[in-house]
Amino acid sequence: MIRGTMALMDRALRVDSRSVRGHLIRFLFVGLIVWCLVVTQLQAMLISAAGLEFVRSMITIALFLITLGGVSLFATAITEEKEEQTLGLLRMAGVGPASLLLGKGVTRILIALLILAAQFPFMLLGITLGGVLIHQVWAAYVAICAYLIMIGNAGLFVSVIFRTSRMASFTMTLALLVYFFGPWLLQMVLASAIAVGNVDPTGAFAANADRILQKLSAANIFVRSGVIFSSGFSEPLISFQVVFHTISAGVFFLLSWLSFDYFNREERGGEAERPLFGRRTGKPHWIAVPRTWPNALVWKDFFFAGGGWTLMVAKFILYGLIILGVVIFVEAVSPNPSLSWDREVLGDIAIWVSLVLLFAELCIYSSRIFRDEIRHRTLSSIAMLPTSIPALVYSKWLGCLLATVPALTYFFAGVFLSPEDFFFVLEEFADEPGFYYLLMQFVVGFHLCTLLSMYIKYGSVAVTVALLFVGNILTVMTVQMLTWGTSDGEAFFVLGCMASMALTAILHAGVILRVGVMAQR
Amino acid sequence: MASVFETPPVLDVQRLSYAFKNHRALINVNFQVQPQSLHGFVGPNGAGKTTTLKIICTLLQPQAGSVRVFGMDVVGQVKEVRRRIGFMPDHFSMYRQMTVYEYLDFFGAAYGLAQSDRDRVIADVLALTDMDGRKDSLINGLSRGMQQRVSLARVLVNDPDLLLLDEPASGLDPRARIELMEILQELRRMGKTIFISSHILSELAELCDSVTIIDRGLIKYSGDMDGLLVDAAAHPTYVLRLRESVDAGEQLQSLPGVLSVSPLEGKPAWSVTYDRELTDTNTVLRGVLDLGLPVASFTEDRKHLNQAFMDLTERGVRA
Repeated sequence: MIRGTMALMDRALRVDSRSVRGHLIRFLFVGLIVWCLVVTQLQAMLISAAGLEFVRSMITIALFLITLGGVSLFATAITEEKEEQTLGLLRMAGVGPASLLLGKGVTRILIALLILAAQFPFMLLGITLGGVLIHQVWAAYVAICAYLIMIGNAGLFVSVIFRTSRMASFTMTLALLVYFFGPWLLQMVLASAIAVGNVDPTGAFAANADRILQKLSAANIFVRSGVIFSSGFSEPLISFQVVFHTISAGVFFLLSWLSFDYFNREERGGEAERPLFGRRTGKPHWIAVPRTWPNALVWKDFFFAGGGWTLMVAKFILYGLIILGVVIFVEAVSPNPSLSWDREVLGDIAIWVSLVLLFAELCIYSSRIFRDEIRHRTLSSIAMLPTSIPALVYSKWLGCLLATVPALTYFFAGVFLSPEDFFFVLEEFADEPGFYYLLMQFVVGFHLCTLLSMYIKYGSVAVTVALLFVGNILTVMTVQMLTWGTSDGEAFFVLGCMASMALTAILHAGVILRVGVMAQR
Repeated sequence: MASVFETPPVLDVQRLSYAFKNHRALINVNFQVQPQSLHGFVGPNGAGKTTTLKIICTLLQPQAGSVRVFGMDVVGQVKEVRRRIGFMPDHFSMYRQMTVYEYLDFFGAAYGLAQSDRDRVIADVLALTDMDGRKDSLINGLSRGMQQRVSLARVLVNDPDLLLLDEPASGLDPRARIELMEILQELRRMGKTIFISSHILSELAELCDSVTIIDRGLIKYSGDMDGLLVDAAAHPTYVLRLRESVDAGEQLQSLPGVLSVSPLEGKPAWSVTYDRELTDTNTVLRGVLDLGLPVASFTEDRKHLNQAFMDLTERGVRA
């Protein structure tokens, strides 16, 4: 076992040390810390507790990156071997499940821990800036390390269960949403049930349910970091969150080990999957894929990347149910619960839910639209068609955008149901440069994700979100520093919008050029 | 000077060069391919075959020199060139979640064919590639040989005049290879020009009219197959088969110009090598007949195509 583990660990470390990308990420990370330190130092004379602000910002960024790592880096540790069809070869070479889990998964966790360790000395500088104690820094690092180990092992577990990185990442995202928001939602439901009299507030059920939900909330790393950075913090370093996450990590590792053989007995490669719809022969007309449209590329991406008519119908039903569920939830937890249909509430929820779903769909399409062509080595075949590369790119995007019709329909239905609220919000935001800046971040993000998907095999969405998040935190910090006491920063948002537009144009050209380059391979 | 009646070449490559960073993939490459011929493009792994093919099919741009397809420049007339050619890459680049029919229909539509034309063309190419019984099968479920046929059918959908096939037989079993070669011969009879790359010369020997041999980015030979043998084999070898076992070694060795004679193990046959400068095939055969031997056949030893290839290309591991 030791031999196999060491071989895999050695390979992982060698690959990491030879990768320019890895060094670049570490360099950017250090650069980010130093820049934040400089900004904080400049602000130290203007604000109180500058050190606390600095440490809190750094810890928030680290937590965010670890969470993204959970859905990308950790959740693909074993699935990437499955997709490359190398898992069987490793097993035949005598590398057992434990060695694979230690060598592939735990190595990644160790690399992440090393990055955190490199960050630690800089955090101590925050103490000299004031507002934070060494005890708080230690507590934050113990908490964050426990969280990292838990996320890493949870990611490892889903990568053992699922056959593709895509499914593993998707499941991990859902699991994290449940972890972060589940207790909060349940607390709201409990409060609502007590309010309407369905649950006795003095009864054992309410007391126990509340106690469990309080504990689960306390296990939330963001809640814990809020406690750590509150004034007068003096709790022990080993908190409930640390114990909970460490035990969870052990359980996830154990489950990964025990279930490894069950889920990976047969090696099946990354076969092309046919979406929900059937073939033309013997199927009802509406399920079948129709004959190719005059714009063949639009047809291909609508039916084979976007799922076609059947998936569209499925999305109409699913999205409708989600909106309905949210409406029922909102009504149930409101101060005056009722199940009567309020047009405005329904409209508002339809707008916001459809925007979230549209965002999720666009993330999926931008990460897959060219990655799948590269994976199946089909890009050169379509690049050989008598059409230009830009026309090819736009046709493919159009095919995917057609598949977003259900989300768009619910959005416009929401606007139709609640036009007053929608136009009121629109008017409110229309004068705010920050609103346009936010919109531009989405545009930049989808371009960046499309471009990144042609460079990296997995996790382009996560990397994009990380880059945008960190980039914007830096921008906001810098704007705050530059405009302290002189302006509300509106001019900088306008400049930010212009810079984002320029960046979008560059990324747009980058996508087209990269498609041309990848087609030559 | 070219005759006014001479047919212009389908493919004209002149002083073509291409480099990847510090690796020179093609160095001053020159060759031509005549219409309605089956031209082999042979070289060891890493010789520059795929790079040349990608330039011809407009996926790469030449860094020096020119490539003209049907007289059209591959840089300046990209769309026109693409309409006249069909390229089959060396890997299985297919939408495997589609059925055979969907796949061909997609490419037909992408080339701008009307639906009625697509029906006819797809039926024709499926019949030609003997895949008409599998048109509703998912490509993912087809064998490698069948996928290669579908790939070939896809290349034919836009009725190209020049087919560029990059190692089409690699990874196929012997039966699939033979069937593929039969389809290619049929296509040549239909008037297509076929440019086929391979690293196995003997595979193309029976098939091709002409051949270009490339090694480490340099053209080692370009011309017809017979010319390759003449150029490469100063000492050709023939196999003499007799109807009965006769000890004819000394008699054969005494023939003028014969350099060596060796019996083929377990058969009434001899391998005869002669010096082309001292004699020729007819004279050697006449001498054999004059010896009164019971001759069954006197044929060129095809193994020497491989020998010619080995003589022309350099040994060693390639990048």
